[in-house]
Amino acid sequence: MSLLLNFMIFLPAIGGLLCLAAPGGRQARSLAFWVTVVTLAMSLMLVAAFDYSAAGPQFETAVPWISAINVEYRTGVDGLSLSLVVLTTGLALLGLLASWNIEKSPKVYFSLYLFLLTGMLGVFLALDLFLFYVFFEISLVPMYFLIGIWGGPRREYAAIKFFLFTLAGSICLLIVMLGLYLVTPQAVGKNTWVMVASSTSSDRGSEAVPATLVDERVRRMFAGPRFDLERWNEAAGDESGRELIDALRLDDRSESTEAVKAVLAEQLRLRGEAGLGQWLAEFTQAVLIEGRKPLALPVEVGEANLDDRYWSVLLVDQARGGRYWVFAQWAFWLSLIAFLIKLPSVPFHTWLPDAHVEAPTPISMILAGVLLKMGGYAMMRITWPYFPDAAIVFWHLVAGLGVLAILYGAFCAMAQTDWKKLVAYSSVSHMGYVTLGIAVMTASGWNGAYFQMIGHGVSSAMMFFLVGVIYERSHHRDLDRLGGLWTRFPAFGGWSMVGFFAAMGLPGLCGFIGEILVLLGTFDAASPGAIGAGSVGLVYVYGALAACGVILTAGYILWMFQRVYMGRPREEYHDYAPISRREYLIMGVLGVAAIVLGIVPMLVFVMTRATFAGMLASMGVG
Amino acid sequence: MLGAIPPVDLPTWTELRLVMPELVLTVGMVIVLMGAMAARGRPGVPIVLAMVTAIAGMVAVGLTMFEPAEAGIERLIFHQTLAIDPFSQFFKLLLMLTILLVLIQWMGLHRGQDDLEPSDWPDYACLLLGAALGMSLLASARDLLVVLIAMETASLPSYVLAGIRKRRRLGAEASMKFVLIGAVATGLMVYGMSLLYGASGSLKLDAIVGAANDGITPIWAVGMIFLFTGFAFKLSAVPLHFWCPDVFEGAPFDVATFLSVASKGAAVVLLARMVDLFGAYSGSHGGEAGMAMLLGVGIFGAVTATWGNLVALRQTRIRRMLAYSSIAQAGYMIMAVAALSVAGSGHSAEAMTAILFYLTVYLFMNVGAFTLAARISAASGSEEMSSMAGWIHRRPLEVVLLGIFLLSLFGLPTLGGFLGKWYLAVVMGRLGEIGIALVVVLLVNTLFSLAFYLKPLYHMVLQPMPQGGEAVASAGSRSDHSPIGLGVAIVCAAGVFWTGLDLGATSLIRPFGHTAGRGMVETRGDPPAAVQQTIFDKDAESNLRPSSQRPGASLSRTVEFTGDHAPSGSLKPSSVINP
Repeated sequence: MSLLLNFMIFLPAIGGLLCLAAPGGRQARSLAFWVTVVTLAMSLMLVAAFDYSAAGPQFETAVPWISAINVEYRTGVDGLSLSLVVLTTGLALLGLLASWNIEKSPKVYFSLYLFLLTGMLGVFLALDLFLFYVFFEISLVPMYFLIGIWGGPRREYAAIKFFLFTLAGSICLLIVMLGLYLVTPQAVGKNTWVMVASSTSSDRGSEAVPATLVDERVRRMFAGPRFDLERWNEAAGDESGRELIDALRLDDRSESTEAVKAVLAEQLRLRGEAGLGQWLAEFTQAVLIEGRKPLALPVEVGEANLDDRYWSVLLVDQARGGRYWVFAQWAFWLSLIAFLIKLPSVPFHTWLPDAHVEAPTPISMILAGVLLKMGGYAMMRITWPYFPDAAIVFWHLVAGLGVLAILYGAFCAMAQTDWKKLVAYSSVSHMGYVTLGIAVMTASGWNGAYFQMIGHGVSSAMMFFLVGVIYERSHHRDLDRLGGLWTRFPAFGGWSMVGFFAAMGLPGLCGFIGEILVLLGTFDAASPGAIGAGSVGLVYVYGALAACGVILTAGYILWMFQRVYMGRPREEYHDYAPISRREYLIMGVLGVAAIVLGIVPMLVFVMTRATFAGMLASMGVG
Repeated sequence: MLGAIPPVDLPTWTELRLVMPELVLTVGMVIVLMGAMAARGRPGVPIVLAMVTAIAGMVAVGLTMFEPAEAGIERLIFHQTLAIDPFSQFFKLLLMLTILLVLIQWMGLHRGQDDLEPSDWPDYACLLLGAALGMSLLASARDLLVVLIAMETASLPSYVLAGIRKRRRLGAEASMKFVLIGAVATGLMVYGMSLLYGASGSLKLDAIVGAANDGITPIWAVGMIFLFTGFAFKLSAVPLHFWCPDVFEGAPFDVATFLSVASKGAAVVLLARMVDLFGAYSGSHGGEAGMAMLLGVGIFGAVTATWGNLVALRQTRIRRMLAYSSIAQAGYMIMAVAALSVAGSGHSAEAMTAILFYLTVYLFMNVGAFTLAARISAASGSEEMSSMAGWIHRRPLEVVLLGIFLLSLFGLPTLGGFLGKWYLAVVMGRLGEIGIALVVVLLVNTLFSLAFYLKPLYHMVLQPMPQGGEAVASAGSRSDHSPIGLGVAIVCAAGVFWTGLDLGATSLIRPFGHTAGRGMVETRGDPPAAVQQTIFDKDAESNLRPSSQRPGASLSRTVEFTGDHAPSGSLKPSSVINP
């Protein structure tokens, strides 16, 4: 099965090369079509073979790649990536159908399209951070050319803007990776890029579910709280804590180790084996944030454990003021910015309207349906698991950004007269829910954010397709010059209703589940033990403002619907070609998906629920 | 009354064997000229002979490279004036490869063209080998006098090569500029050398850097700055960079390729050797001098990279753009060289490996980019990027390959440039705050650079072909459509992928980086005449380096748990001076 998974990643690239060699555009098109069909079939086979009871990645491959820096070619699929993979392959097929009539250099178009598919699948299936970065970057290049060659009038500007923005984010991520490369050996002994602790090597049993997170030692290394000497001494009940700290702060390593050993030997003499264990356990308590479940720091005692690399690193670091913690805060923000650009979130969203408006319809579908999800996926996969404590400390800011994106995106959408731009801004608004849901770090928040990504993948792709169908006939997207379309295209109007209302969050359609769960999750953050327990008022404000977003969404969608579909049909509509069966097929599939996901959301949650519960638990919340 | 005449030391066989690559180049020059005389009617003969020389040079380098069976051993020969270590030898291998590729590229460009007369071909081949001889010596130089001679040996033929197309005004102008700036640079450098000699009483690099042990004196600092000015000329680093775009533009494309890769590479190797020696010594004086050197070289590199990139943004001609890009690329390497200046950071070998790796990648991507830029601009009749609109439809393979090289220069993953930059950034990142600043400079520069690396692609791919473009193309198409030049590009593309996907590239290069510099002998007094070849015993070597840095150990060195202090490298001054 793991072979199939790897084959699925690279089959489109192989197909892309073959497309270039194809004798003509039609052959390239049918080749691309069959490649995407096979890719979709393979992803469905993954779904069928997936073990839903197991946490952690499945169908793993791990082959050493750049051994000098410990990079592995490591791929696999888990509950976090499986639905996104299916979304990707499904949308790829629909997007390919939508690009059926591409006339300009079709061979190159389909080839780039397939390369893009490889990049996207690679991003979701890579389990090695370095490999992830490689796919994250190389998926930019086909996108640049797809927008830049086949786009609208300002395509060059939009393409370079897209490239530069995302690249700025990538560079932030690269700084984080360099930092991780330089500091993780100090805790783990070697560089590790493994994003998910391997399920095969983990023998911790099912209850801890660490297999969905990065190596625990790395995560603990970035544990947040600074060492609190007063609390330590209080807990210890004497000055022994100070002695230990003084010993740890000695500059010379061997001197320091000797001194620490001396202090511990003294304590061992005074308290006995069990007493020393208790004493160190109190230390672990002393360095925790209030209101959070304690992280299980290793508290075994004895000479041997003192030399334990991780334990010493953590102690020394804490004693010296938390260097790793400073790094973790920086790294949290840098990686967050990298992914907020991709998501995109206000204030990094400005590339999105340009890229969407200029991109051809199928590329808009892929861009909104899949590429934006890379940002949310990476936040769940990288930013939060690596730096959970920083995420907890800064959660207000991140949630605030999410709320801001919801409202700002919605207001911007309301002000648009360009139909496609309106849909683009609605994406900004909808992705705000993802940011908010992730930031609150509750089970329903994460499930909601994830479902929002899937649901938005379906509904936004559908909206862009609907816009594209009309644009192909009218050659303009001016909302003021449309109206009464429903009369001319009744069936199209019906499907449009499904698509736009799904985006609006009508119950029974896919948009509703994500939004409502994020809202519920936000309020959950105020419950005892959750991260907002200390600031209930603010949590309610976030929840209330985000809920206002729902109303605004309804506002701009309904107003747009009224301007485009209601009213008297325009004269020129008679010249519009009837909507083809191919087009009905695409919107039908997307519409049915929107309805099915809205009624049976368990389709997604069955993959994510256990995963997220385990992840949040081992991050110390939830 | 004359004093006692010092005994004359004749070179030993070992020494001669170790300078075999240089001897091959010298003999090659003679053979090229004689061959030209012998085969008067066939002007291609000297070119072929030069290629044979390059290949023979590679073999010679290979022999000297692997001859000292124990890696990690540096051989100091001719009274410690030349260092024949795997680091320098690896560069010489790259140098020979460059000559070979440039000559093949040349065959693709000049055959059947009138602007380089066949009577000039032997001169061309001979000068190329001569310049390479200088660069080869430069890479091994360990003595200021050798630095000076080698630099002049490299420069003088380059001046002529820049103007080898005698009928071109641009070529004459380029040559003139090159000579003038070169003369100024040499003058400054010699002045700096005299100051350094005054400050340290020796011409040996290690004695000179060792003189900083007692604290940096103003005279030493000024001398060092002037010396670096001379290096900056060869590196085409700011502030002596401005010859570079003009010369590249005036010289034939192949000469520009040669200068951009070989001349820069030799200067980077020399700079690295010097800074590395400095770093090895600076451990003994608390690291303050090391800090000064780190800052100095770091800023030197950062300014060069930033300046090169910023000016490249404004270029409209592909060759000038590539020239400024090569300035920026040199800046990246200089920034990594800065890492060598802090002793005890214990990462000298890692830095050396990173520099060698980058040089290798740089060779492939730059030769490739220049080759294709030459072909495309020859075919389109203009070097203006805007005149290459829509070329993807006409020469798809060439444009795609050019795109690969440009994106590699920018640093896209899976291409060599990315992994090269990654290694450089790791080396810088180990230096604490200054290092982080350098990394940020490197990455921000990378971001800028995308804008101009995409520019040719923007024109060639995104822009439509102008009306009647076909006619213009055929009129301007004086270049051959022979596959020769394309072959060079394909080889280079293979190299870019080979390094980028790390198909054994790092493990191949690492042993050479692990054996650099750091040949510590007491040279302030007269070196004992008997010691002509210094080979460290193994114990001394292991004293010099932290254990994990011995050849074969992983590049990703595990750092021990010492809080915020640099790992206590075991570089002890005592063991340095008296192995």
